[in-house]
Amino acid sequence: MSEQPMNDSYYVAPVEAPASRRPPVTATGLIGWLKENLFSSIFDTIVTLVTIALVALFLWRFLGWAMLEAQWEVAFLNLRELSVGQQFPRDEIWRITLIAQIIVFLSLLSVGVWGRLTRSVAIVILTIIAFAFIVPFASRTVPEPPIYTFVAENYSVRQVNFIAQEGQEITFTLAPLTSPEEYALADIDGYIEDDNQQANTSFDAFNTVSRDIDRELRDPAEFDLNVSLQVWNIDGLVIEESAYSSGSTDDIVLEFTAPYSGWFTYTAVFDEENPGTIGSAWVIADNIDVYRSTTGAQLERVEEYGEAPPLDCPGCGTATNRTDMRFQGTRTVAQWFSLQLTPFLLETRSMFILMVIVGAVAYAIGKLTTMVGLAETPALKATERLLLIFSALWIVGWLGVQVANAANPTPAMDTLRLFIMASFVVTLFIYAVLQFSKGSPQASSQAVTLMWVLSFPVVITLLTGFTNVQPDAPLPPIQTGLLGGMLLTLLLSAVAIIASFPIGMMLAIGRQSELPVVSLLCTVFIEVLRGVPLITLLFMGRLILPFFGFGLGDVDLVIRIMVVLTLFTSAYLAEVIRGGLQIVPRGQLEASGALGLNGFWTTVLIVLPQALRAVIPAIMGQAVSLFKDTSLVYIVSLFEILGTMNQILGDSQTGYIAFPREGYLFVGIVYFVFSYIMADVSRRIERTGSGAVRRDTI
Amino acid sequence: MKKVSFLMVMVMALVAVSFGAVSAQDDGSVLTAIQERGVLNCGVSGGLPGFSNINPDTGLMEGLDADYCRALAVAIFGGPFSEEMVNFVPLTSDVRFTALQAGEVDVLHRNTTWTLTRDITLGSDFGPTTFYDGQGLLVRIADGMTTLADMEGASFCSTSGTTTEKNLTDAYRALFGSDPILVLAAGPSENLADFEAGSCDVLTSDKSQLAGLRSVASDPSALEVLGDTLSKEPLGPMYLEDDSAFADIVDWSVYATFQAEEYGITSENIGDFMSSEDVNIQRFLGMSEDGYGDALGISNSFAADIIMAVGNYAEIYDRNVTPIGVSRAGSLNDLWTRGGLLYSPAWR
Amino acid sequence: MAVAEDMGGSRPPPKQRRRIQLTTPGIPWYRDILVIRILMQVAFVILFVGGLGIAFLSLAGNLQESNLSLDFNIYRAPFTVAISEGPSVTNNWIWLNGDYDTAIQIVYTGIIVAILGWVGYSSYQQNKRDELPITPVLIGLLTIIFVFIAPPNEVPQILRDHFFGGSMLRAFFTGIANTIKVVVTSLIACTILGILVGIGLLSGNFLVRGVSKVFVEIFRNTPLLIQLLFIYRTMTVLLPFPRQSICQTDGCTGNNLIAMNARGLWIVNPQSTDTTVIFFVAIVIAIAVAWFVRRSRFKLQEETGTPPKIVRYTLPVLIIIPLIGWIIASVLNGGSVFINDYPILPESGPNIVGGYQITTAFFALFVGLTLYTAAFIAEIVRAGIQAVPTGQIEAARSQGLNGSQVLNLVVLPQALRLIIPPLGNQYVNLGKNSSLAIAVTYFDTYRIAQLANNESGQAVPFFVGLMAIYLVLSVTLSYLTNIVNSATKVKTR
Repeated sequence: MSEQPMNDSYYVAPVEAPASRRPPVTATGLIGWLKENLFSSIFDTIVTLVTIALVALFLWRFLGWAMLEAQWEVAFLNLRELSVGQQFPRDEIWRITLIAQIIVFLSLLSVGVWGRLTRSVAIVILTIIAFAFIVPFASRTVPEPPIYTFVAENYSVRQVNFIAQEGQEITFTLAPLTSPEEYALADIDGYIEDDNQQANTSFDAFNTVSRDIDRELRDPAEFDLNVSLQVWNIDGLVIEESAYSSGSTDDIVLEFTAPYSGWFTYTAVFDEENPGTIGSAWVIADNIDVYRSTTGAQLERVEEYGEAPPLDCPGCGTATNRTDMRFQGTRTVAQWFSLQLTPFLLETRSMFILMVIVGAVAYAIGKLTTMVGLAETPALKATERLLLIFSALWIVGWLGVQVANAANPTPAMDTLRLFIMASFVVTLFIYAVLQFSKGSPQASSQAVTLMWVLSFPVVITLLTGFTNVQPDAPLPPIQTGLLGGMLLTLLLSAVAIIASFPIGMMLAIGRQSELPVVSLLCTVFIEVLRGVPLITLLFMGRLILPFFGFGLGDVDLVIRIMVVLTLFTSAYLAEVIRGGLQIVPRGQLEASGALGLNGFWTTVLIVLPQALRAVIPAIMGQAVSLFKDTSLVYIVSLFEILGTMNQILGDSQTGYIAFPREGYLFVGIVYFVFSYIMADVSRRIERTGSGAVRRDTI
Repeated sequence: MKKVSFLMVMVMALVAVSFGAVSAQDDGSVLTAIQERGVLNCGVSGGLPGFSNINPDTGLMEGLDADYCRALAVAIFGGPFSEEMVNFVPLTSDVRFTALQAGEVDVLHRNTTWTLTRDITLGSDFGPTTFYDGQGLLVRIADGMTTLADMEGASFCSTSGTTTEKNLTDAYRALFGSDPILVLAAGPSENLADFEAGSCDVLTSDKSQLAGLRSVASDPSALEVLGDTLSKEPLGPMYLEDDSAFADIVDWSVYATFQAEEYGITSENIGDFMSSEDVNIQRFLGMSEDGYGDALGISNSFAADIIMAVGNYAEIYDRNVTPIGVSRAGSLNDLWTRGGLLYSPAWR
Repeated sequence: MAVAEDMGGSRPPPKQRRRIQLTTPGIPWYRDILVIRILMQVAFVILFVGGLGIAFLSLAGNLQESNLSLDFNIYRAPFTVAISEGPSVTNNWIWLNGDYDTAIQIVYTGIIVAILGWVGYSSYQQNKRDELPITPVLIGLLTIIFVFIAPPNEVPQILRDHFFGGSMLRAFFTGIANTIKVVVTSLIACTILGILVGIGLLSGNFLVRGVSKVFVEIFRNTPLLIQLLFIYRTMTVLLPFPRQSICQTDGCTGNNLIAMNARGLWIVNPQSTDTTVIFFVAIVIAIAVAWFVRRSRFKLQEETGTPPKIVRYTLPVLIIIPLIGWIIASVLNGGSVFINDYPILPESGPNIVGGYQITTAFFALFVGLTLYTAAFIAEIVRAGIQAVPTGQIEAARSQGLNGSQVLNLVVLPQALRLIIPPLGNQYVNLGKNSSLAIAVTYFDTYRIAQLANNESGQAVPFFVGLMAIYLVLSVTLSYLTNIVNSATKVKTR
């Protein structure tokens, strides 16, 4: 504590610094930002305004279409098909789910051990989860739009099965059409019955009648029909009935409260004596839930309410089924959330949350293992050795079983083989866990690598299954022909990018070779593959290759296409890697030669490590472009996600044929999400300098 | 030195390849290949309701063509039928012939039109016609076109790689002496999408397809399939040339369904016929010693197996084609006894 | 090969190695590495050729088995499907059948001749490449001979067999013409758009930057195939039916300069008259004169230092001479140089007649290819410009250069050298991606090959042809970019 010298003969600087003057308002805060980034000059201002106008216009038009007009059912109700393909056996889907979980687990584990997650990722995930819960909850309040069925003379009126909860109040209205304006679809806002399986639906009939009115073949004002509304219970008995509209054009309203939860049927019936000669009307059913028509949903319904009641008229019985109801008119945004987004979220959110949980757990483990750990004891060492010996034994046993199985397949072998497989995996898994428990980063990263290696046989086994003897053995085989959807897309790109790596490396080295023959051949190979479009190569892989014989025709199509994609990618990868090889200065090669390394070891120990590290981002870029290119295989009728979407659009039974834009847009979004993530990862790697992968935030 | 070692690797690879090449050889007959493989590769359209279309609920291929694939498979491998016997290969019309020539599929049951040039140039043969079709024209009623003669300058949607665009080109040139405007797409559903968007005035294709497409159009009542038929389209199986052992099996697996209907044998009542006194029916079903299967080199009871698997022609037709709105009675696809063209050679 | 060469570093060419004596003294030849090398290579070649031979033999055998053949005479077979895009297959002349008339031919020929001349000139300039650029010259000559110049009756009989009367080969040429059409147009468009967006990525304006970024991310990270499908479907759905076409006269029954519906875009098609040639010749003269004026001005600047003022001196030339040509032509021809062929919607009849049609298929393909490639080019441009150190830009500014001058004189010359090689790869990709025309209903080479294959059932010959065509296309594109590249390189002597 020093004393201020009591001396006024010289100036003493004050202890506290003078208050700093604040910069002008126009240079700081929001205004300053705007001034700097948007309105720095007149030209800049003009550009800004024009851009705002254009972007606003685009968003207005596009979102208007996407939310109010687009029919996203084509994607949202076919998620199973889009993810695993149309023909994939339904009972085996759990295997794919398991694979997905394994991969999520391992990747998050690696991130936990080698890097760390940024906050933004967590925020994004949490937002999605919150969204997935809020939207369905909120959309409960949005009422279902009414259902229209058509009534006209000598037209067999639809008998509509629907599900109502006990006490649910439903209003049926018979609204006769009397003026030409009413014969326009414009003012209808709801579902019109348009069963894709049947001819002459309400929609068709209405169109026919309104066309006649346009041609003045009939007078819209005439109406002398004599019909009444009826509601039947599950046994087909009338439980609610309205008065007959004896020719009067007033609306007839039938209030109905469901006495039990389950199936009902509503329809309009003509009076036997005098049904009337001419006229047409809408039957409008309000507050009925239009249920989802995915097979899974149908099975659930059957479990809960039993089969739908049989209807006496085969041509005109239908149900309040989403694929049999055509949505007419424009949606409100609220309805978009309730009708379109909610089913999607309900389908996906459980899977998504499960993945998040698994990932979180894996990440926590990964982080933990790098921090805490138990000390190295002889016992631990011994255990590790033992485990390794065991796994070796398992391998021997596995081979033995395979041989024996090849000799004479017996049911016992299937289970035995599965058992050995499982125990092998378990053994090594325990070993990996022990490694983790050491708590040293090296051991942990070794363990992660081991687990990745370990995951390959597991994944492949889950994917292909066993050729069992008895049909009901676990893990029945799945023909590659049944694979499809996103599964096939990811499979193709994963196999191609992994397999093309060594080939690309060899090509790159070969092209650099000093032997003219080798370099020439490699160059020709690379340039030819890079010179022709991928679809011609795919076409060749599918249809020209078999002409060469050698049993190439019997090779499975998926395998052939994998090979083609691999070769195609390896040609590009070779160029990428060659670029990396050139950054290694010649001095190093000479130095390594002076150290007595021969060419091979120089390449392996000196050149490749540096070269590959240098081109990691470029390789990731290749992976992205390959992932996008897999969309071409639908041209050789392998049904990956785009091909599956084309199948769905093409399937005339489901009537999605009218919504190709929605379908393609959805597939595009899926592709975008995946490749954007890939590109983002590679960017992060790039930003932290090549090779610094392990210490990077991914 | 690196280069040499690298070179050695490649040399060895090449040696391996060429040895593999020399050692590999394949024999001629498709039948033996199928029997070794244990599964029949059957080329179908895969996206065509009524003929071959994947049922999204069951994931199974359904349709007339698909059922004939099953019939052939069960004839080759013997009953009872199981889905593992057939591997349905969906083919666009662009690649079907190459796929057949390349041996990717053993037989095409892909509503392929039987034409002379195809029979000659494609190095393949046709089996008995399973569906008699004709090329029709789908138009909008509002456009007021009633025959091809009204369609000068119109645009035509058609599936690329079929006979339809050839027939149309010829007919149009004959009428107007100029080329029609063709909008070729990969498949019928793309055609319909183009047609509904106004890319073309006329959708031309086989009438059976047009009926199905019209029914799924956004407003079927605004469209009509014109009466006139541009060409005859006999659709049937197709297989490689010079392989009579296999060809006979394909042909007679088709004829079996005709004959079964003639006898009145269905998948339901076949049990009763098993114990029939009629020696012809006994031979047909392979109940007696002198069945026909041995001559073909397959099971004696192949006809019975086929009927139990897919039924006779009437059942196949009603199950698949009737739902898409093509009635059979009185059409060419009726049995010869009722004035149709389905006529099986004598089972003798 | 050309693609590789610009990336290929400086490895010693094999020639030098040859000059070294073959054997090392003191070592028995069978242990001499050089000898072993040669022997191994010979063995390698033998085995490789042998493998190819075996493969080919078995291919031929299998084709024989299934009664197919390898001979390419199948290209003479008739092609019976109508191709409603590009030059007609059936008419006895490719471009001379109304839809492309003499004037346009002259323009096209001029363009091609100019390109070839430039290619030859620049390749002659570089002392490295003294040999003539074979591929582009060949293609150019073929195009000129068969497409533009030679009248039918002067072409030898053998060529007639191939090129006239709707043969498969003629169909292929139609397909190639369509492919070239879409590649060239979208190549130009995507370059312009890509540079704009690339500059936008570096703009100081937050909005412009953001929009450019979003554009690039969207189009780079989704497959082109899906983009094409989406664009095509959207266009056909949004555009009206022919009877409700969009155009400036009501009901479209009048003379429209432009008309549009779901089937495409029609623009007025000026037909040349007898004297139109004069006008075009005048334009060519004007350009030539302007070029000489420009050169002389620059020479003057080098000598005396007077500012060149290019625009002031060349613009009058470019305006006046064509004007004179126009006047002469119109006077000679009684007032009109062109006869306009307007797109008109007839009272009855399905569609617009007259005018020059740009089909929706072509337009969708053009837009898709342009956007997709532009996204990649934008990133390349951004990287190239960012590579120029900011210090230079500040220095240039402190020299008193304005924005455009900084860009033209300082930034671009350096950036171009980094931009052009990857740009070339993008052009090659564009050329290959044009084969995705099968997604839209456009008659490009691939579709024609498919149709031909389907008509004749002879897959292999057509497939070989298809691959060859695309190879030539890619090699040509990369060759051209190499020329440009070496032209923009710093001349170090």
